[in-house]
Amino acid sequence: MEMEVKQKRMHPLKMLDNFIELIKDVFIPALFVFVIANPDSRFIPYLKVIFIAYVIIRLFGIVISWLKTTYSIKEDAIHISRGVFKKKNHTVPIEQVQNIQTKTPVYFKPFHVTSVTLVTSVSGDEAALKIEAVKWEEKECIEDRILAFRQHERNDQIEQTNEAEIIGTTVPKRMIHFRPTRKDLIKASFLSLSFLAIIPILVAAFEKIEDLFDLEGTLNHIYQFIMSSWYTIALTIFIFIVIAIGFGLVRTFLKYGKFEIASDDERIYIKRGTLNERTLSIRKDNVQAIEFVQNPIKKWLRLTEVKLVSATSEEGEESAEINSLYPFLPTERAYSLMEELFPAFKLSHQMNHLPKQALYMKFLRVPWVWLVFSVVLFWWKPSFWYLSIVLFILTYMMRYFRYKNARFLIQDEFVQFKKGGLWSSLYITNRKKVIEVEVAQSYLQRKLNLTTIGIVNRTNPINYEEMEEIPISSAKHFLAWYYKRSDDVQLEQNES
Amino acid sequence: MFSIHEPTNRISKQAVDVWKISNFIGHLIFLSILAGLIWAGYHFTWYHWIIVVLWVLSGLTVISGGWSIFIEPPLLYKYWRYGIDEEYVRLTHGVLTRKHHVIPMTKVQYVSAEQGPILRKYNLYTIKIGTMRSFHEIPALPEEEAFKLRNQIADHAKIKEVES
Repeated sequence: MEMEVKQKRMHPLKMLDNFIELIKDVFIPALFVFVIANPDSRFIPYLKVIFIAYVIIRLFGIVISWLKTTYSIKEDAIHISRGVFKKKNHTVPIEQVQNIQTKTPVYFKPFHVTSVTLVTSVSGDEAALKIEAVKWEEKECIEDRILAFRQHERNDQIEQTNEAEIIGTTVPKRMIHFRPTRKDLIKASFLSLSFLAIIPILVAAFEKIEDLFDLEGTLNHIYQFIMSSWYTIALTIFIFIVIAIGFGLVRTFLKYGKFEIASDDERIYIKRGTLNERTLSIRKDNVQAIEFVQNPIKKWLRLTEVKLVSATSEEGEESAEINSLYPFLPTERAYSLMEELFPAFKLSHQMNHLPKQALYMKFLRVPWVWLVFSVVLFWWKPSFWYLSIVLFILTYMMRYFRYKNARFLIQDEFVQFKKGGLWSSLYITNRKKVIEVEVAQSYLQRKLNLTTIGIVNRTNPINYEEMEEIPISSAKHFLAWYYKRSDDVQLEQNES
Repeated sequence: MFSIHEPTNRISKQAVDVWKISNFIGHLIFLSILAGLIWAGYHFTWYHWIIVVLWVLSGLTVISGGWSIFIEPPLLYKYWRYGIDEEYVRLTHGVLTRKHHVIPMTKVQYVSAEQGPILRKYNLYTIKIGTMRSFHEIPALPEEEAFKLRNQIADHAKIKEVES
């Protein structure tokens, strides 16, 4: 079946995107050249010429790069070719795509345009393929092509029929699982401490302004005015708090306001952001593991963050954020949501504790952080010797908590690790998704009949999770469990 | 140590000599660099503490040399086991910390037999098994065994899983 493959250009808005980038790049230099610099200086006219020439070249570059960048969607791969002088081709086989992320800046919205990033499990700079601007219909087309891959094959196979699959074979129905209410959002804005975010922003803004103008005199006046009486101090603090909270609320509403988790039989869709919209769509099969994370505050308030472990694009933090389902879910809801989204995943709350020896082992481990801290402390500031004792007690308390809170379970096709003392994380994955296992035993662990077990999941390139101080009998069980992996996987027919 | 699946194949006994020689050379090179630095330190009257640090490093190198030339190699050899079947590669090794790896054949990406100058002298090969995570090595196998193993793994690893 030879399909005609069309080389397509991106939406012209790609140029707008690049243009905004250009403005960001040249704004400060422009300000310097045209406003701040002493106009009498001999160099300034040259600088102006160079600056304008640079901007013109960049502008041409934007247009040419749009003309020269084409992408094509083939049967089994997405291909992109860019470059003005040197052609650069990048092909991503559809089967390697783990998830699709989109980002729609405010100025793309009226035109129904978005940028699409295909995230693969390959490591390095070929890890993700970004199509900077396409129409929404086009995006849907790409999404369908990628996420539906091998669906036909699958229908041919006589599989154990899942109830869910029978219902969904005709029209995949999209169901919305979660949308935060206003109350949820207000809670989130306090919990995420987003009101604190105003501080670095103020500091940064202040520094920028200070670079350009001399403010010291004015500031001194203001400072003295505020400090002149308790009344003004209190008022200032009050105003600051109001601004900070208001800022936090606005920020949270912009970030999580339009949050939505939806799914159909095959995929999960996460949408977030009010002004700039980001989405993640992922095939359920491509979720390698699920992690439930809590910090001490969330633990106290019984809230949990659910993370889908999957490949992330290089945008780093943002991408890690989008992999998380709503970070402030009530714990019960977090578990029920997982059951709704992944009927195949069976999370059990009856997990095994670590044996007594595990506590001895945890206590016997060398407290390196404390050692180094103490040596440095006694060297530099011996008068603060008591800090060393405080850290020592804290270290061993944390170890005790970690022992107390640790749980593990190896059952059916699943393995579950629960780790952490004050923070906690519960990691669950299924045998098929585990691409390698490791059991290690240090000298001391050998004496205490303990082991450390580790599993490897495929993200980009991999994610390694380990659990310390597992009794040796469980480690044996773990290996035996892993050897049954061959029953779960299906092998390709060897065609050669 | 863990199960009936415990791998049983051993590597060549000559591995002990190979490790002894290579660790000896490595430590010798490092020691001579340190000696050079110490000499330079006295000659050009560097800060005293630099020379102290260099002497401490030399001492540590001698201790580490003693361990990795005389004590470690026979033990490493003693505990090295590997085993393959159609479905898994299994490796166990380690002196103080003992590790046990299980890698499904379907997840093996490449396999190669490699040989450095010392291994060449003994006509031995190291099998390198590449996975998504990084690679695993089975050190010091006799030529015939190494090639056989490489071909076996390559053969089993040809089959891939249906990714769903």
